[in-house]
This record gives sequence, C-alpha cells and structure tokens, in this order.
Amino acid sequence: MTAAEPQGTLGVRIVVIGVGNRDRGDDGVGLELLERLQHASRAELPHGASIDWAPSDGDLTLLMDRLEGADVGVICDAVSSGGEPGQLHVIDVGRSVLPEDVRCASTHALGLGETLELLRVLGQLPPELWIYGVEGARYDVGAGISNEVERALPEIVHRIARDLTHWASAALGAGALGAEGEGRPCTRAL
Amino acid sequence: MKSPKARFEKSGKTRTFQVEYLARVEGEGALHVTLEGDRVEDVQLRIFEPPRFFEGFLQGRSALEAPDITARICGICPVAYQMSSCHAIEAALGIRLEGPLRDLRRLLYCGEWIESHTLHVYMLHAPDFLGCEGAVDLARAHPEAMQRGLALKKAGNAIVAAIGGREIHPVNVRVGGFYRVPTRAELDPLYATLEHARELALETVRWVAGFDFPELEPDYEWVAMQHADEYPMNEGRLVSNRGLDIEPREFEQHVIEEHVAYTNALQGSLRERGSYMVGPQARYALNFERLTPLARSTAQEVGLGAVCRNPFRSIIVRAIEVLHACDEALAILDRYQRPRAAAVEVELRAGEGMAFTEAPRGVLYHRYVLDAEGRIEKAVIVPPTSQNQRQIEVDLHALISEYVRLPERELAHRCEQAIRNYDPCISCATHFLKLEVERR
Repeated sequence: MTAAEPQGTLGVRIVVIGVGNRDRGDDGVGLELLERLQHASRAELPHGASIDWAPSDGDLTLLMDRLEGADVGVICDAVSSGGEPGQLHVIDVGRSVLPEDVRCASTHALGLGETLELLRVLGQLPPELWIYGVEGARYDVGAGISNEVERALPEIVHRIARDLTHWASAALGAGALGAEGEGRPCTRAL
Repeated sequence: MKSPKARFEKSGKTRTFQVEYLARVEGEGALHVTLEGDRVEDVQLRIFEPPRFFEGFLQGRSALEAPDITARICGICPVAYQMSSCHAIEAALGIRLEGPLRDLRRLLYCGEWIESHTLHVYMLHAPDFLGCEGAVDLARAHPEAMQRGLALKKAGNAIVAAIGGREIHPVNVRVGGFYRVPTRAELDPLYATLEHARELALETVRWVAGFDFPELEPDYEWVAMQHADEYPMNEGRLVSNRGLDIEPREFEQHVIEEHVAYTNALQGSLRERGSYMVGPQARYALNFERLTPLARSTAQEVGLGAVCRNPFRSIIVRAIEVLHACDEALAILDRYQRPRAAAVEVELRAGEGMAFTEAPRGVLYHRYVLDAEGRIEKAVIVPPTSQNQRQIEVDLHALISEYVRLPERELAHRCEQAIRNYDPCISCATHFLKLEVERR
C-alpha cells in the first residue's frame, strides 16, 4: 500500500472474528486480539477495505452468517495443543482440511472446525480464510490472560494486521505483493 | 455410519456397555448400561459437566439483574431464561404485561424456538436418520437440506437480533418489558424473511416425516403448559394427560428434584408418580388444537395425528413447532404497533414470585425470594433437561429391552439416538454424555 493509492483496497470485504470466553483465562485471547486489531492504527490496517469486527462466544452458525460474502476471513482463537504459551499457529483453512483434533475441540453442539468444514462442503468458504490460534497457558475461571500470552500479543497483532493488508490486496486482484511474494502468510499446521 | 465411542465388557452373563462421551448433545455426559443376560438391569444417564451454581450467584444481586445473569446459563436458549426470570420477578412485584409488550416477548420466544429447534433438527438429530456421522456428513450427502436448515435458523436469529439486540444472549430484555422497543419500520424487513422461513419450515416437516423411525411407544405422562387460546410459551397453567393442573406457585409441591450420585444434574420427578416428559411432544399432545391451522393441517398431512407417542418422531414435532412459530411470528408482526413505553414501571420491594415458561426443550421454572430492596435472597431454577433425565432412562430401559439382540455397536448408537430425541441441554441441566453397558 502506498500514499499514491488512497483508495487502497476499497470494496474488499474483510471479516475478523474473535472466538472465546473472557472469563476463562487465555480462552479470551481471540476476543482480546479482535479488540486490539480494531484499535490498531489505521496505517496498519488495509486502507479502504470494509472490515466487519465480530466477537463470537458460542453459536458458531452465526459465524457462518458473518462469513457470508466475505473476500477475506480471519478467525482468532485460543489453541491448546501442548505447545509453548503464546506460540502462534496459522492455519490456511481454504487450502487445508482441518486436523481431526481441531474439528472436535469444543463442548458445544457444533465446534469451530465442524462449522468451517460445513462451509467448505457447501462451497461457502471465503476465498481466503485463516485461523490465527494462540497457544494458551491457563483456562481457569476468572484467571484473565496469562503473562506469557500477554507478552506475545503485540507482535501477533502486528502480524495479523500485516497479513490482512496482504490478503486485501490479493483479493482486489492488484497483485501488488505477488501471489508468493514477500509478506505472504506462512502456514504452520497444528 | 461411525459408531459412538462405546466400550463393551462381558463377565459371565453380565454385559456392560458405556458410551463415554455423548456426541451431538449440548454439554458433557455419558451413558452406562448393565445387562443380566438379555434383561436390562440398570440404565444410568451420567451428567459429568460440573455444577454451575447459578442459583448461588444470584443471591445478593438485584432482581433486575436476573434476566441477564440467567441468560448466561445457555447459549442455545437464553431467551427462555430471560422469560422465566422476568415473569417470576414480575409475579413477585405484581406486574403483568399486556398488549404489544406481551406480544414482543412472544415474538422473541418464536425466534428462539426457530433457532433452537432448527439447530437440533438439522445439525444434531437428522444425521441419525440418514446414516450420516454428523452435520458435515449430512451437508455432503444432502447439501440442499443443509442449506435449507441454515436459512431457516437464520430467520430465527433475525427475530432474536431485531428484538433482543443481538442473536445470542440478547441484551434488550428487562423486568417490566424491554430497554427499547422496535419501530414498525424496524420490524418490517422480518416479514419477507419469515414468509420465506414458513415455506422452508413446511418443507422441513415433509422432509423429516419421510425418515424411518424405530418402533417405541411408551406410555408417557406429558407435562406442558396450557393456555386457553394460545399454543403455550409465556403464559398458562401446567397440565398433564394424567390430571396435573397447577399454577406456578404449586410447582414445587408437585415436582421434586433429587440428587442422584452418578449425575451432577438434579433429577426431577412428579411426587408419588415418578418420571414424566416435558418438551415438544408433551406440548404438542396437550395443545394440538391450539396450533395454527397451517401447522395443524401439515401435521395431519404427514400423518402425525393429534398425539405422537414415538419419541423418535419428536423430530417431526419440532419441525411442526418451527412452522407454528413462523406462523405465529407473522401474525404478531401483522398487528404490531410500537408501544408508548418500552417497559412498565418497576418498583422493587420484598416478595416471592414463581413462573414457568416453555423453553424449546420444555418447561423452565424459576422462583425468586426478594428482600425489601429487591435483592435476591433465594433463587430456584428447574430446567427442562433435569426434568426429562429420569424419563430418558425409562425410554432407554424400554428401548434396550426391545433391541437387546442388536449388535452392540448398533445398540449403543440407537441409545445415543434415543437420548438425542430429547435434545438434552446438559449445560442447562448442570447448571451431560459418555455410554457404558455392563452385562452380568
């Protein structure tokens, strides 16, 4: 994005979803990321794109409604895979089937992974859909975000904002950064 | 079809099987079955989701906070908690809502019935009848059906968002009414959404009525609300097909809640009578004549009859109730005129109030004792899944006796299906499933 392109990614529709429960320690990290991204400096976010900020605390069919018609979807959530607290997992939902353990990681009637697989089967996944999962340290009631996760957040926010700009440009077909160029998010499966 | 995660053991003539973690139910639970030869010795529905202590949290809080605190008990039926808590507190304070405010509450409840029933019919229950592993598998095999289900659920979401402020955990309900009431113009877009939803609901009834259903027709005591001229939601007496006919203040004299060692949810039963069924089948059997003409004629068209005893056919009853809710919501929209005030005046004082309303899964009872400042001294909440727990075990006992010679995995799957007939909300009941069979 340059100053010579004031319209930037005008017309691109981005949906950022934060999933979690603030009352359960690091499970609130998806909502915390959503809030920080929402308040990131405008310079960091894609210029001109319409961004729908959506917190989600349970009903994942709502998430399907939110993603409808989006060019770019980003889902921020907590991850518990035994990794280092604060570690970022980036999953390219559009290009990979979610691992079984991600699909079942919910006590709700329909988990996040199952909801996304449902969208895939119905051909309703946005062209770009990414999960940013942050490894949590604790999920105790009322514990708040742990120090380990807290320390990792600024860099993660910066990373997601940068990726959003990349995907918004790509969605516009500007090809400004090149399909495999610098700044393309790297994928690391769980 | 993928079998449930069941474990089978045999020692002499004793066989046990357990489903360690029930799938496609809301919350965490398990089932343990003991067989002596081919005789069913014991069936235990074990709810291991931890107790949630909501009645304790409410003590010392203002009565005005109860609708928002209790709504958090469930993400699927928050409106039911808001409705029962508001009505109970309003009963304590001598408040009664009429006209458009009463209508708006009923409209909001229609939205939740559509959301909740559609989620269960399409995502959780239909896969059982179509040999599918779950919602994703169903979408793969029957994409047009899943698209229909999602569109129908979305219509329910739209009602709840329009009146409640958002789709889940609505924030606009208060004791005495609402914080803000929508204008006629704000509700107008719902009309087209609901007319389309009514068509989808009609297709849903015809679709589920074509499934194959296992044979089982227990002799139930059905318990549901009854109102003189409405299919029950917010108002009415609690009646049964065996002579129960009570007001909210009599509920605890007739319904007893017992702690059973193997489950974290209290089990409800009728004093000196035992297990009973609440929910769509009970409401339907006791209120068939109060369904809208379209819902009634559609039930007749698909051969349902005025009473449906087979619990597996509850999926058709739910679909009929969705159709009814769409019809009812459209009728309310037709006559809606924005009230002058969003709520009636509420003056807090000491008192005691009780209420029951019809949550999607059945009767939800609340009782509050308030001090002179209107703070909650005591709260009692009896959710529908707690009341159905014992009846689910009775159904399973009958089902396993009937199908005991089925291969074990098939039997375990059928048991899970029978539990899903009740659309149990374990998160609510613990304020539940894992299957164990023990053969002796």
